[in-house]
Amino acid sequence: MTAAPAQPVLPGDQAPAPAPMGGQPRSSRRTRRGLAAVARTVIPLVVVTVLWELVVRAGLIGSTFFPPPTTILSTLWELIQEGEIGTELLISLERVALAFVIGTVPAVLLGCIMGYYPFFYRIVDPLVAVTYPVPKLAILPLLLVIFGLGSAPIIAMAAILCFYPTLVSTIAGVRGVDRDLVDVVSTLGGTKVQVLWKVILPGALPVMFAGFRLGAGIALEGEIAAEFVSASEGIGAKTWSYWQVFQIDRMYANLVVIAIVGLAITYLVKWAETQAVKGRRT
Amino acid sequence: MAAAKVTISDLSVVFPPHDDGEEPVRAVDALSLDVAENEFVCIVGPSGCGKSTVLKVLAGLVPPTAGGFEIAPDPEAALPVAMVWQGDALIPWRTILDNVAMPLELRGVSKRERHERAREHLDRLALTQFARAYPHQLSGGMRQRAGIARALIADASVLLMDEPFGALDAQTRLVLQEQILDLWERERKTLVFVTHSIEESLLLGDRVVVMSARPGRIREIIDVPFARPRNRDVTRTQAFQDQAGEIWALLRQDARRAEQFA
Repeated sequence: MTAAPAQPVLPGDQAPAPAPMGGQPRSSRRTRRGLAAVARTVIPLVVVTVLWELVVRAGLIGSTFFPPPTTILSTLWELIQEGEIGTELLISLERVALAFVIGTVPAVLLGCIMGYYPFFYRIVDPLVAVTYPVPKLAILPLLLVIFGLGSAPIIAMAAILCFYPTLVSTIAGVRGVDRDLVDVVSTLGGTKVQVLWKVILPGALPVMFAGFRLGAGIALEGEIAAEFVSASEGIGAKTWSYWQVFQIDRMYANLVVIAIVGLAITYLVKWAETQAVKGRRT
Repeated sequence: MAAAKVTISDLSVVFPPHDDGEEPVRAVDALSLDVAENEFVCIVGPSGCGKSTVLKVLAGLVPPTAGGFEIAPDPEAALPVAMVWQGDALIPWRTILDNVAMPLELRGVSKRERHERAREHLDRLALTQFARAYPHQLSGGMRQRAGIARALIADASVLLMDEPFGALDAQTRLVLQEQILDLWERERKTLVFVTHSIEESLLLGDRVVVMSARPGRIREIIDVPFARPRNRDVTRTQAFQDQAGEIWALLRQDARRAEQFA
């Protein structure tokens, strides 16, 4: 009987070596595609803005309610130079960031528990199912009763709003994790914490990010809405008060800032997502 | 025969029904089996005969309904068992290197040391150049070899393999069978290998445990007479064909019945 070769050459090994991620030609094509996407977003925006400017200048629309974009931008520039926008923006951003953390962290923890243990899911899910459809903004008066005036009720409002999307997507993400992978880590002597940290969280992450994206947007929305009624500081509060004193150009200037913040938050979460799931199959 | 490494005694596993009105499934019924130290045991049987369940019990993933098992403690091994899965069960977002290094990572071995040792294991399974690749970039056979490397690095007292080549194409399968023979020749690990291929079980095992369909019981245990080290040539001998025919005669009825259920 012939002895088996010590290190057999395997036919399967002539399979192509893994291609390096994103070769040269592909990356330049990607840049071009990215530029095209930016153009598709920017061009309509510019067209609408220019049309607006022209229509107002031609006197077809009253400039009282719709000041021309040039006026809005120069007002915005003034507010920036006076330092008002910066101060108010920081206050609002701090509230949104705190709310996002306060809402998201418990949502991830609870979502992991509910997603992993069907027992907890059965107990807690009815509560979630009942409270989820309730318009959360309606409890703002209650939050004002509980937390008084100031930042606390605003943060609480935004935190509650962004809690739900993250909870729901974390549950879905954790349930979608391949059970074999959990078994692999636990049979190899992994502790529960290691299973959570090395398999469940990273496995659920792509789905969880859908919740983070929704949650971040909703947190900003709730924060602005809460500022309208119960704050004197913050970008939302300013927007509201300029409407009340009928400084429409200043109101618009603040709206522009809010829009930019909204976009920035969306792109920030998207960027975080690409960093977090780098190297994975797309 | 050397001292028993794995002792399975009167093991029964009953799965509760998924829905009301369904019958509970008796997957394994009063199964007893001893596996000696350094022995290569193959369990063969029709689909649904509970052979995978036996492995899952040994891996601690499924609790026995009755009876139990014992794995002789081995102070030199880091873990009682390590498993190679039917699907490769590699973690898709980790590189092959980090997948193979995982058992050491779980034990808190430093990154440098675990990568070094993982590279040694990749070398042994001819995967050196794929260390930085992700599982989806590899062929099924390479992935399965990475799964084997991961089980070997775990330094377990007993290796469990659950139809590791079941999902591979026929040629890759032949190659990996020879690799496993080779590897076992060098390591002489205690190995319990589940398969539905009669030929595979005879080629690889010291003994072949033939199981019957639900409820899973042992039909017969066959001592494989072929000398080691073995290679594929043995499958072409008349003795091999006769032995395979005998096992097929044992399984035929059950296999037909399983087919009708499916």
